[in-house]
Amino acid sequence: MPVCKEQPCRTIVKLPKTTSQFVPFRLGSKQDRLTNKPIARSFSSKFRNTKFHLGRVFPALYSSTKMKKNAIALVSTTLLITVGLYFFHLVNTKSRRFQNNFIRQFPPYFAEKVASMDLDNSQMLVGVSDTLIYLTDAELEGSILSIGLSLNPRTIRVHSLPDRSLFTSLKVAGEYLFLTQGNKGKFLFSKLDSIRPYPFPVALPPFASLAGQTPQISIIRIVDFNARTTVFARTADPSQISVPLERQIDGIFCTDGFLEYSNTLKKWIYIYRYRNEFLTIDSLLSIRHCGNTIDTIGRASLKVAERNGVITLSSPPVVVVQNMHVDGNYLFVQSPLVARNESSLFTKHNSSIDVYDLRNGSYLFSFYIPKERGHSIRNFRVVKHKLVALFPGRISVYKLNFSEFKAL
Amino acid sequence: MRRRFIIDTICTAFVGLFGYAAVSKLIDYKTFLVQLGQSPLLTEYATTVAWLVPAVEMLTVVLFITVRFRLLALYASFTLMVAFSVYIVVITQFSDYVPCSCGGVLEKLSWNQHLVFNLVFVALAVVAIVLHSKEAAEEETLLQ
Repeated sequence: MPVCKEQPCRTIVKLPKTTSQFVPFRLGSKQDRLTNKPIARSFSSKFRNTKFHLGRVFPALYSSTKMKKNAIALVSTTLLITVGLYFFHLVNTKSRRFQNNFIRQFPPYFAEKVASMDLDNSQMLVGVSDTLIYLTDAELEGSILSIGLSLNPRTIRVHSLPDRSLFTSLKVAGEYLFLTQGNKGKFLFSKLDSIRPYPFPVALPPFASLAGQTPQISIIRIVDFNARTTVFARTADPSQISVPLERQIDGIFCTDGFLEYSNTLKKWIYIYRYRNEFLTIDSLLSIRHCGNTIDTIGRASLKVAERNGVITLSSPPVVVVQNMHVDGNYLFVQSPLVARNESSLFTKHNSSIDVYDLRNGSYLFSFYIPKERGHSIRNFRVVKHKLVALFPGRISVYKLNFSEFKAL
Repeated sequence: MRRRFIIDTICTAFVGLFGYAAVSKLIDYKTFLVQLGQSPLLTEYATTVAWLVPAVEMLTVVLFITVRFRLLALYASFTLMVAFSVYIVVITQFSDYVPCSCGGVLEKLSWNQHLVFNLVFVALAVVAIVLHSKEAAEEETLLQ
């Protein structure tokens, strides 16, 4: 009988591939000698052999439970706060931006854009004459640029400004350039054709604003912080002052407004910033009620606080007039208030300007100036039925088709 | 050791920040109230926010001092700094009226600078929370 030798046992084990697959522990990893349990290697080594794994981008998702909880807590807190504050803002804004109980009338095709030009973002509109637009930079460190109403770059001229310490604001009025430093009562003027300023011969008290046709035919608005009154005085004789403006709340903020001169009426127009009234002031400083703007805010809606002799607004005020300008017999008012027949979505992309007849104080109509590059009008001027609108980084000229409005 | 040093440094920075902010707001409470009133987002809740924010800041400082609640303090700091940062973004980007910034020395900063300052502290809070959690996890492993 043949003898069979016992064959040794052979066990074939298929080992998993360790090159391109992700495995928590590699074979041959270090093991605790006592327990034979694999010792966890460093966090990054787990992903060393992977070409791409989500764990490399979001390690918290594949890390320990505590880290994962921390990550979820941090991210959810951030999202909660962001969403919560944004909706809180929306609710607050909606409650304040109510539609007012007045209606605007819009004649068709009234404002037609005729020219547009890019500018430096810091440029300010300081005035317009019959043929030219005058600009300067916000810091008043450069010069005055004049450019034709056609916005043709070939018409750009540069005029150097005098010593910066002599003034803090400037504006073009008629044929003159007015340079003022109101808080010190400084007033310089110059002809536009040759900008060489001269000091006004009469000493002026500190004033808030100045407007007029010529340096002699000008008035200043004086704000008396002690008496809490706002009065007007002529530059030719500042000792004579007008009666104070009607005080509604504090006498300073509540009477704030814009002052411009009408060449045709030969009077000054003052419009309140926070209430719906505009006045005329004649050369004898007689103040007369001229008319009301179409909104319903007859009383200034603002709160003031006084501390250490400083008066400040203590809540965001309701602004009735954002900007204004006078051209002949017409008053142009940029109002941020939404009318009853306006869509807030539409007003979001346009600035509305209301037009009033200064001869009888009546409202005529309104028109829109579209926002440019997401920005509303920073400032505007109207001259000879052309509206020059300044936006941040851009200027546009609109032709106002008064002939389209048959009532005129 | 280094990890502990980083956590302690960040916690000290937060204690200094919130302590200074809370004290400066409480010292000139009326000014802070007026400044809050000027915010279009908070004007109707100015009175409540004027005492709530300094109170939360002081409470956070107390939590930092109590080592046991340090992680909770870090979470509170993170929440506060995120809230302040989002507030700045909402006010500067979505609001039609931008009030002045407030907060003692931080009054000198512009809104954008203030935002960057806040985001830096948000990042510090995140770093401290992660390091603290890692340390706690390692301590648990050692104890096991």
